[in-house]
Amino acid sequence: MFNLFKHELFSRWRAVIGWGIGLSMFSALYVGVYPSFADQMTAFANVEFYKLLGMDLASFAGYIASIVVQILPIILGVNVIMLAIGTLAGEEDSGTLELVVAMPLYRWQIVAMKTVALLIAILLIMLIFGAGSALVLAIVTATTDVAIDTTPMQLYGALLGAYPLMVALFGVSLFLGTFMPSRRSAMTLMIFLYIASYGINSVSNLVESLHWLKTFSLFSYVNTAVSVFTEGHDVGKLLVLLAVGAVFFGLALWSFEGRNITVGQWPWQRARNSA
Amino acid sequence: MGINVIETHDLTVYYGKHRGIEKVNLAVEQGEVFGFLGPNGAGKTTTQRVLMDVIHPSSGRATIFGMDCQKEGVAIRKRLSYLPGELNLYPNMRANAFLDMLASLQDGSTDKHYRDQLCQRLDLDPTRKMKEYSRGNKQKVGVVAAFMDKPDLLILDEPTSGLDPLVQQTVMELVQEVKADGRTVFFSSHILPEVQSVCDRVGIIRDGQLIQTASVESLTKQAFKRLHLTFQNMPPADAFTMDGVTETGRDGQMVMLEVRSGLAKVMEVAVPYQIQDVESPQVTLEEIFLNFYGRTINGGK
Repeated sequence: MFNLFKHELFSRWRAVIGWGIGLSMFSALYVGVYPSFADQMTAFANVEFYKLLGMDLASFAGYIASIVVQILPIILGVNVIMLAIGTLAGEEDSGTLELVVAMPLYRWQIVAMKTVALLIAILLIMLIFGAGSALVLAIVTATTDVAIDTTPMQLYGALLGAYPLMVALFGVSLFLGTFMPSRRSAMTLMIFLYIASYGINSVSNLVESLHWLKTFSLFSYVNTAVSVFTEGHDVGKLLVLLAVGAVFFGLALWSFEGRNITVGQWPWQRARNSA
Repeated sequence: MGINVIETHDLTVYYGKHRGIEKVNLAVEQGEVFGFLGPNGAGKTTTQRVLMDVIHPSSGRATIFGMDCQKEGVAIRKRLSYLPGELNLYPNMRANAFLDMLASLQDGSTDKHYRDQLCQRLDLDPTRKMKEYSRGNKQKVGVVAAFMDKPDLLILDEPTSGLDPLVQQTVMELVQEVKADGRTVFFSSHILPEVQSVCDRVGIIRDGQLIQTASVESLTKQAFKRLHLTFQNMPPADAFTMDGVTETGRDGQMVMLEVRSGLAKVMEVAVPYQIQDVESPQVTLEEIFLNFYGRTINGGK
């Protein structure tokens, strides 16, 4: 069983390094150029569009929170969705899952080993790009005259705080991968939910009367405002995200247990033998 | 009668409204090589996938080694290996690493020397990545994976698919070695001569239903007899028009018949025309198989 975990983790080492470095470079690009345009950024202070997206580009801390802390996890989230759906639904589509299921393993073991391996891979990506972003900020801080009231460690902590969001996204995607008939249908629905969740968070931030909608957006449970550097994340909200991940992981176990591999059916089409 | 390694009882699978298999009852005895025959879509792969608990039956049950395939699948799968009909492998993995992984998931007790021997016999270089292999070489990886643990039961779905004739022959030798060890093989194939050469019994499935289970020998005996009669005086064209007899052709002084019943009556009709020679060529499994489907060798109904 441990070998399935090893295979799942080690077969992704290139992707882990690639995503980690890629996101660090994104971070370097945006953080690195800020000092050159610092005096022009105040012009964005009252732009409604950025307010809609929950962005504050007028201060360096706000800019970092808006671009690095908010955007990087959104980009990584897409990768998390692809990983989670790909590990079961994707392998089923490509035909490799049939051999794994034919091994003497309980289905819950297959789901659990793949989940643990991929959550470790996602954590490694976050550790790499968190460290990369913090390093970039340290270099920028040391080489610019622009006032920066955020430390590299605060940035690192803020970025890693998005991990529970990744866990929640992973759980929901994993479940859809076992519930929907194919990878494509699971991916389509999950991307729709992902965009809707982000949209709900943005709109409810902007319109006071829709504030209650925030409850339904996973993004609202992660602090991406400038306050994240001083106050950190709300631990209670992060626990909610972990709980969402755990609940959907449980649903994925249940759904995968009854799934007819290679067939691509909806759950209600899966006849369970009562004999 | 031997111990049944595989048993299915009214095994039925429906894919939504579509029929997979219907009330399939079969028994495979320990130590035998059982061939599972049927055209595409007949239900061969569905049956094997239920045995492997890859899919769940709609009704009925299947047991292997006396254990329920659904409830005790893990214990069962420790003692068997499976070669899927649609074999797909991890493209970026090397065959060696893949075989190591499967061996460790099985129970890790693979005899590496035997595994190397298998690779040698199948002419497979296991150091390459899967994506570099041709279809035939990928199939060889699957064959090595199926045989390397020396399981008590092998379930093979079209094991020689994509292999060249020489390697097909090697695979059949491996099947015979498994049989010689007293282990059991359940395999489906489209290549009827290979089924005839290694199988003790065959099951024929059509439209999801098992329509015949018999030993290869009895099938070839009971199906029909082929008679080639050479006459001094040729009988008239309608001489053998009778129930249970089909005249399949004439060649010079020879009349070719397929006789399902009424052999005595055929001889009675034939004798007055002075029989010079009687031949009874063996009926092949392929002919029997096609006969079950109401077709002739050349494809006509």
